[in-house]
Amino acid sequence: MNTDGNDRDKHRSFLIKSSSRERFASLLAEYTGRLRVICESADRRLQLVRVLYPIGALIAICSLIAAAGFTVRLIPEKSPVSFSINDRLLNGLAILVIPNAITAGLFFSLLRVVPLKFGSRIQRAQIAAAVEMLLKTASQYNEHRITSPMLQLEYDLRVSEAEVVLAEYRRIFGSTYFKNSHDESR
Amino acid sequence: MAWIDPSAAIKGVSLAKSAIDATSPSVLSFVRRSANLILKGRLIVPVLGAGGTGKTTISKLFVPNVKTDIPKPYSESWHVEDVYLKNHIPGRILVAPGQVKRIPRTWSEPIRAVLNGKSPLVINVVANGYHSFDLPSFREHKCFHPGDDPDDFMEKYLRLRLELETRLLKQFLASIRSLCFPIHMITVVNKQDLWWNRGRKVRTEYSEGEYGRLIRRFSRTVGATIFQHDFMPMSSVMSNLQTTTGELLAEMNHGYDYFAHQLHRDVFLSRVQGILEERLK
Repeated sequence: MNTDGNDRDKHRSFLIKSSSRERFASLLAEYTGRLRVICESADRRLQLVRVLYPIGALIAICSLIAAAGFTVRLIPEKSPVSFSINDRLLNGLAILVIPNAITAGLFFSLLRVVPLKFGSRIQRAQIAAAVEMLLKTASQYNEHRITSPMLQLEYDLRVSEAEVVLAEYRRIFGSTYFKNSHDESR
Repeated sequence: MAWIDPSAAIKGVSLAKSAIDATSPSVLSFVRRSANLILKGRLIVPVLGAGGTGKTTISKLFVPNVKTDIPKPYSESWHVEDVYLKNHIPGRILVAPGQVKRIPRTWSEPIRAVLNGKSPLVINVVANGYHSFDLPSFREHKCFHPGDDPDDFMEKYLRLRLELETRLLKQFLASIRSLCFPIHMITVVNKQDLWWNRGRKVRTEYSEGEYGRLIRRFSRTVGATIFQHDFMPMSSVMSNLQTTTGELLAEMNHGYDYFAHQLHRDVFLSRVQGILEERLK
C-alpha cells in the first residue's frame, strides 16, 4: 500500500470516527440545503421564463399584425405620389421588420440577462459536486457500515433528500435555457 | 404495352443488389432500426442486481467505442441509468441501482416495463458475493470484527452478500408474479476472474442452491413458455477486488486469461443480441 493511500485512509477514517457520523450527516444536510436554495430560486426563474416566452411570442405576432395594418394605411392606393410596387414592398418590409426586430431583441436580451443575476455557475457546480460526493459516501456507509437502526434512518432520510435535490439540479440546469445562457459560459 | 424482358429484369436486380451492397452498413442499420421502432416499439432491458456487482460496467459493453477493459474505481449509481442500443435494435438498457435502500424507489420502473410486456429480457447480475464497495478500509465494514484479517473478513462478507443476492431475486420474482408476457431472464454470474478456480462449486451453488430453487419454482408457477432462464458466467473487467485505498481483498485467479475473459463476454453479448432479435421477428 502506498503512502498516499495510507494518508487518505487516515483522513477518511478521521472524518468518520472522531468527527463522528453525525457530523458527516450534518455536512450532507448543510450542502443539500444550499443546493436546494439554488434550485428553488432557479426553478422560480425558469417558471417565469416559461410564462414570458408565450407572452413575448404573442406580443411579436400582435406587433406584426399592427405593422401590417399600419403599412396598408400609410400607403393609400390613391396617393398623390405614385409608389412603384418595389417601393411599396420595401417600405412595407421596413415597417414590418423594424418594430418586430426591436421587440424581439428587447425580449431575448431580457431573457439572457435574467440568469446573470443568478449566482455563478462555478459556485453551484461546486456545491452540486460536493453534494454528490457526500451522497455517495453517505450511501456507502449506510449500506456497508452503519448497524444502528436510528442512525440508518437518519442517513436514509438525508440520502433520499440529497438524491431528490440533485435530480432537481440536473433537471433545472440541464435545460436548454440555462445551458445556452450567458451564465453557463462564465 | 409493357414488354417483359427477363434479361432486363436480371440486369435490374443485379444493379439493385450492387447498389444495396454499396450502401453504408450504418445506413442499412438505421433503416432497420427505424423499421423495428415503428413496427415493434422500443425494447427495454432492465439490468438488476445488488450494488457493486458490475451492472453499470455490463451496460457499457453494449455501447460501441467505449473501452471497458480498463477497470475503473467503483462508483455507485444513485439513479436509474439509461443506455440506448446503437445498432439495428431499438433498445434501451435500464440499470437500476442496487443499494438496498434505493431499491423501493428505483426498481419500480424496470418492473413496470417487464409487467407491461416491453421487456423481452431481464438481466440479473450476481457476483458470488464479490461485490465492490467504496470504503477506505475493510476495517470500516460492518462485517469486520477486531482481529480479523482480510480472509476472515471476506468469508463473512461473501456470505452476507450471497444472501443479499438471493433476497433480491426473491423480491424481484415476487414483484413480477402476475407476469403474463414472455420474458427471458439471464443471470450473469459476474467477476468470473475472482472465482474461476472454484467454477464448478459456484455453478452448483447457484443452480442447485436457493437461487436455482427460486428460479425453478417461479418457472413452474408462471409456466415455461412465459419464463425462461439462463446462467451466464463472465467477467466484465479483469481486476482484483480491493478497497479504495488499495487493500487487496480477493485477487484474480491463476489461469483466467484474456481469451477466457473475451470468450465469455462475446457469448453473453451474442446471446443478448439473439434474444432481442428473436423478439423483433
